[in-house]
Amino acid sequence: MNENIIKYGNTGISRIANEYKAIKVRNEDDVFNSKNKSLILMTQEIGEIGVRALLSYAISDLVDFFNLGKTMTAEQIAQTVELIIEEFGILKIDDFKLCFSRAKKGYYGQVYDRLDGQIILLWLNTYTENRINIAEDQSYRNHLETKQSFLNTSERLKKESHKRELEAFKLKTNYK
Amino acid sequence: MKNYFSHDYNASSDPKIIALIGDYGAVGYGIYWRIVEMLHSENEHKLPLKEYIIRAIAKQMSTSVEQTSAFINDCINVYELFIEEDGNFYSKRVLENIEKMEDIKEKRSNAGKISAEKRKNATCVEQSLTSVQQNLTSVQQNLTQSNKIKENKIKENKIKEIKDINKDCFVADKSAIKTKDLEFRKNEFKNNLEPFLEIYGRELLNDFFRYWTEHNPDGKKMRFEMEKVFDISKRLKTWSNNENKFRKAVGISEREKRLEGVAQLKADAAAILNHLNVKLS
Repeated sequence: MNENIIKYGNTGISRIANEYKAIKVRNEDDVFNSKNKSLILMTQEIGEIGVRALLSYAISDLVDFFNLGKTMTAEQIAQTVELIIEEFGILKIDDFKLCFSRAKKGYYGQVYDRLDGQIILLWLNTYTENRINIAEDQSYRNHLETKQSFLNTSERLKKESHKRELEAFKLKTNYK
Repeated sequence: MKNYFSHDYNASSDPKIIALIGDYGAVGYGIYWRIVEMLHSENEHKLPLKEYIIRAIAKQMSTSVEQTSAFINDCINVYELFIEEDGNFYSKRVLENIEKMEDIKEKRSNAGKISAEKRKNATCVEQSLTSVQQNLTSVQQNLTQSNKIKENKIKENKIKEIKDINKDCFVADKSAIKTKDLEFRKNEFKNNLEPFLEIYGRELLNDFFRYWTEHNPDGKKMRFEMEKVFDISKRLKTWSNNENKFRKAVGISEREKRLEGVAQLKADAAAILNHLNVKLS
């Protein structure tokens, strides 16, 4: 029995595991639409210890997946978590889930019997660059959509207004 | 060997000499220095004030005996260049010179002795160093030249020895159990292990020895004596292989240890998240 389980109890461990599994993110759009907050905002709600626990859980889950000779130690995971908080505070837990899911699928290349903090940070860098590009595209698309919608409304209003004026003129002039 | 005495260049400035030259001229000056030379060459640096000495000096300097006698007399009584004592005459200046020379001689002799001693020691050290260096060089050369040959020979010998042992196939001698005591047999077993020292190392052999020399409760037989067949080389080979396997297993357990740590961290993290009531979905 470890200290934290004694301190906090182990009744909710399976709940966390289920909830983490239940996070379904197939692409960046799912991440953008998620209601989960970024690490920085989560720190304000659950504190730094909560954020550390969250990332530790995510990385431990990742380490569990790979069958490696040179796997990570708990200490290495703790250090990696610190670096992630420093560098990737804007990401949500959904981002990590998506990034790690892609890593498991070999999206960032094959893992050759070694996994460490540096590799994870490289994956996150690649993921974040891609995410920023997609966010930019999406933002531009949204902008275009909003603009189009505004133009459509304006056109419709113009047409309605013209129709009303025409009706008023006909009434006034008894035009048939 | 020639001997020297100092003749200071301002000797003629001495008032006594000036007076001598004034009375006797250059001849007198010459006679004076001839007498001084004679005084230097004498053992006691004294000349007897005798007739034959005066005649000898007169002969050497081609002067008359009377003139020489008067001259010596004046040198003693008038110019005070010589001192008369117990029928002899000597020169204070000559004695001082001799003393000075003796002193210098002694100093030089001592310095020479010290220097010689040092040189002797240095030579000895140098010689010994040279001989050591020569020995070293020759040893190194020999080593370099014969190292490969030796190594090959050692390897060949080892292989031969091991082959011999294998040929003999060390099997516990049942009759020896009755005739020889336990300690003797243990030593014999130890001796049979020695040829394998370079191959397997001391640590492995010690473990092997400790295991196989464990004796039964009544202390009559050792473990290896209870085996039907006991070929040391083959047993050692198996022992070594098993140890390598064990080491690999330790390596795996290290990985398992890491994974255990990660699992514990995961459980800790989940416990904290649950305690903080974090909703992930």
